[in-house]
Amino acid sequence: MGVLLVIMFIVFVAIGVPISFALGVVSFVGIAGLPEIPNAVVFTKMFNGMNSFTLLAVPLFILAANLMNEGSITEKLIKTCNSMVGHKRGGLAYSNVLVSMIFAGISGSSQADTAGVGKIFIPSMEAQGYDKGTSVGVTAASSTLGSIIPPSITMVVYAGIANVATGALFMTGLIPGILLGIGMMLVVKYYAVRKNFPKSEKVPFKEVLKLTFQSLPALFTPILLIGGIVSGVFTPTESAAFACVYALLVGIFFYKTIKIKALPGIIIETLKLSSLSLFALATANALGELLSYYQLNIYVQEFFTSLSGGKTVFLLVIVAFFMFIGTFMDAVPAMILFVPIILPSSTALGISPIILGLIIVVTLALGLVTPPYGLCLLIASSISGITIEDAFKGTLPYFLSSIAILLVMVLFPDLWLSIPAFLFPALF
Amino acid sequence: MKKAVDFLQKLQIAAGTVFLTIFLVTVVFQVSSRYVGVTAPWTEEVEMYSFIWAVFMGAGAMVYEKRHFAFTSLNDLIKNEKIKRVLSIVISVIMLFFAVLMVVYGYQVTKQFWGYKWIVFPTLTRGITWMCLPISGATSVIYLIYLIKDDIEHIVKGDLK
Amino acid sequence: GGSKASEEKTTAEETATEETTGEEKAAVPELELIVAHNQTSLENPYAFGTIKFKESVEELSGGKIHVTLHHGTLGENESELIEKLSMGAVSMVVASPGFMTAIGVPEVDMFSLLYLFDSFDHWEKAVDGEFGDAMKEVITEKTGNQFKVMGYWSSGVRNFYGKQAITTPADAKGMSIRTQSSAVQQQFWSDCGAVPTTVAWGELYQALQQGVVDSAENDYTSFMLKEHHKTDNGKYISETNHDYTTRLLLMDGNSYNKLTDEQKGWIEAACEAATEEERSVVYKMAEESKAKVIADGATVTEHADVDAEAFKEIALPIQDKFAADNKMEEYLEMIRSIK
Ligand code: NA
Ligand code: NA
Repeated sequence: MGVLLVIMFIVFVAIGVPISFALGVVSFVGIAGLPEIPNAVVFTKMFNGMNSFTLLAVPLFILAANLMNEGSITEKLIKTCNSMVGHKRGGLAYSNVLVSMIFAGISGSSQADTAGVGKIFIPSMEAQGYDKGTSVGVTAASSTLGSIIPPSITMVVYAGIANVATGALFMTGLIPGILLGIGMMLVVKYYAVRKNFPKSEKVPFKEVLKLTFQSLPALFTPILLIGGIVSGVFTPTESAAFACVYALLVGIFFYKTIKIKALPGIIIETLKLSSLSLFALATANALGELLSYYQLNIYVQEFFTSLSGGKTVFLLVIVAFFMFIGTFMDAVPAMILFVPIILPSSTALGISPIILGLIIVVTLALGLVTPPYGLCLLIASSISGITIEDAFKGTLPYFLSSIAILLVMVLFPDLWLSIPAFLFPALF
Repeated sequence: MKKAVDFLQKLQIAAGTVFLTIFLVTVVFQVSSRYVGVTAPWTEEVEMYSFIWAVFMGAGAMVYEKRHFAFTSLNDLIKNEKIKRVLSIVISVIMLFFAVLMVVYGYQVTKQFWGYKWIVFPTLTRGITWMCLPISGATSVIYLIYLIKDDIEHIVKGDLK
Repeated sequence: GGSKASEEKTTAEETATEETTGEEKAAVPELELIVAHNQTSLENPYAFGTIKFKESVEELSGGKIHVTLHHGTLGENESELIEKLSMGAVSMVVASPGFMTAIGVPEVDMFSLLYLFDSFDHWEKAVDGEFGDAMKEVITEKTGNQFKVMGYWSSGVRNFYGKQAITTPADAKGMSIRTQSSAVQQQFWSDCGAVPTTVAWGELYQALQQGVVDSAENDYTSFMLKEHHKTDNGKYISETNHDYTTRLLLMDGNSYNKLTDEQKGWIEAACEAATEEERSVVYKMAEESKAKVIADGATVTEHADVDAEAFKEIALPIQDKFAADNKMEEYLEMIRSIK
């Protein structure tokens, strides 16, 4: 039965059935194969999987991104970053990563980042002469940082399942997030000469200062948001609502670029992207239900408790396991299904649940660019209009650099906890 | 027929937008009410159900625009327009299968949970909230049938562009 | 899965014929039961209780009944589990009684009344006695036998914890408190002068840490696991003992009726063993959790130092009004008379 379902899924996806529908049909056929379970659970799970407080933040972050685009906040941010690094060979690619890092500090959803940053960067990179693979690749890869640099929806979900403080997990993600960004910039540097990336003219220093000043409200947002969460002005989920209100106010009153007339259009755009992502999440949840009824988690649990080889091997297997899961499943159902059963074995090995969370979150974030179920890759390629294969080819170098950094994290797990614990002792 | 289907989709997007707006306003209200120190227990259910409705309405409407994330490599490889149309029909039929199931089982659970009430508004049945499943499914069925019919017409007419 | 939920209820005959074609085992199960609760942690009374049920019923039946357990994997949301029970997608679930107010059994909100029980001893006497039996009947009758209570479980006794200790209701005046959504409970805290607030359970740690709310109330184990006692607004625990909580181990009564007498016997006996196990784990964990929060530096005001009578004075009129509104004076008397 299992093999049949896997083949069915692969064939459906390969011929071009939407991922969400392919997941739905496979889940249905799987549940139908269990005579004692009513088929209706496939559909009640689609509904109930979304009945989660944390997921409410998804459309909010997408709206925040759309408001920042409409209010030219993103554009100003991009201009500023370009003025700083644009004159280097591959300047736009550098600034793509840089903007994604700043965006990640505002948004907790990688999908929102892909859509927000990609809508502007992908066309402008292509216009400057970058190949489509690179423009899509850099955009998709760097938007994974959205789930790693705080705030982050996946971290909130993990913290809830594993009983760790959200603030501590957030701060643990900050440094690895920045490192991953730097790693991607190094890849840009490597290819800049080889692929002869374009560069822009140097912007006079005075102009750089002026642009920086203009985009202060945007540059300031991550500090405001992360600071607000850490010091406790609002909860992580509320930060999404705050980001929307902030972007709206800045757009209306500071830049005076958002017109009230434009609001319905912004909401429709938000509706479209949110429902595409969340409908895919809904059917991925149905698949999670199928796996629960087939007791896959019991086998996984047995597997992890039988692992020998200590911390490093354990974490390496975790990475491999979630990398595999991430190819066909969303981060949220994957964590709900597997984190509770992995946690005891991990704790027994002396791995802090925060570090386990960091490793899982980073792995699942990278899963956002691995096909077939890689929402960031799918969104980026749909903006550019290239096939997912080409998009993944373009993403691969940046993906591999992230894997390398992830492996370093696995090798020295305690280091990543001690730095934030030293910097923010109150949270740990 | 195209006009009617177009209108249906516009209507559905409008419905989704209304639900999303209700959701957004409620969220902002809820967050601010906490700072003011007012209890607003109704916000939780309103937020949740309007959110889910918005998602299902949007997802249905996106079927018509063929916007659901999918692999297009095979489609791009095929040069023959006729085969392209046939592939498109195959995909639509598979989607149609799931959409029909959404209607059938969505209707079943709506009926089954009709007796369940909202916690904050005990006069409201939770059956209403479940109706987004069959409605999203039914509209998808209409869009898909239209898309299939359109593909067939093109093949038959030999008008393959 | 089949086509209609009503046809899905596992009957002994159906499974027996289907299972014989399966793999060869010592005893071929004639009945498959799926038991679920909403807690993902295995260090939880529900997990201990359901594991005990599986062990007991499989042993008693000599393997003729096989149980699959789901610790949170079929849904962390109680209402989702209840829906699954009524669809026939699970055989048995653990749930708070509150959901039944939404399906036309407002009587069960009786369990939400504060200061209804004086001790676990009193609670056990009530639920294992006349009152418990009467409530089982009300539930069976009012839900058309859709829900059958197989055991009264608990999730501990709830205490107040906040930015300062409270020994009298007056101490709670003006404090915002995160409580459950039940109307009678919100009423109680309002009458104490506090401001009931809703905060998602998963975000309560943050909310207490940063002062979004001044206080909350729960049982030792629940807030210890979430480390609420380590926050500024959660470290003063007052043993108000205001709520000896009741949880229901539920089965679909119509499926139950289709079982053979022998199967019913095994299941009833296993439920009894599971109930006993669950309760003893609740009591034991409460003690352990209390020791843990004290070791972590939280300040505990013992129950003896709390003016429980003053709180009760506020709770009693709410109890009386609830009983009058729902014509349950008789039930209230059953509880009060065995104190
Ligand atoms: Na982020
Ligand atoms: Na993926």
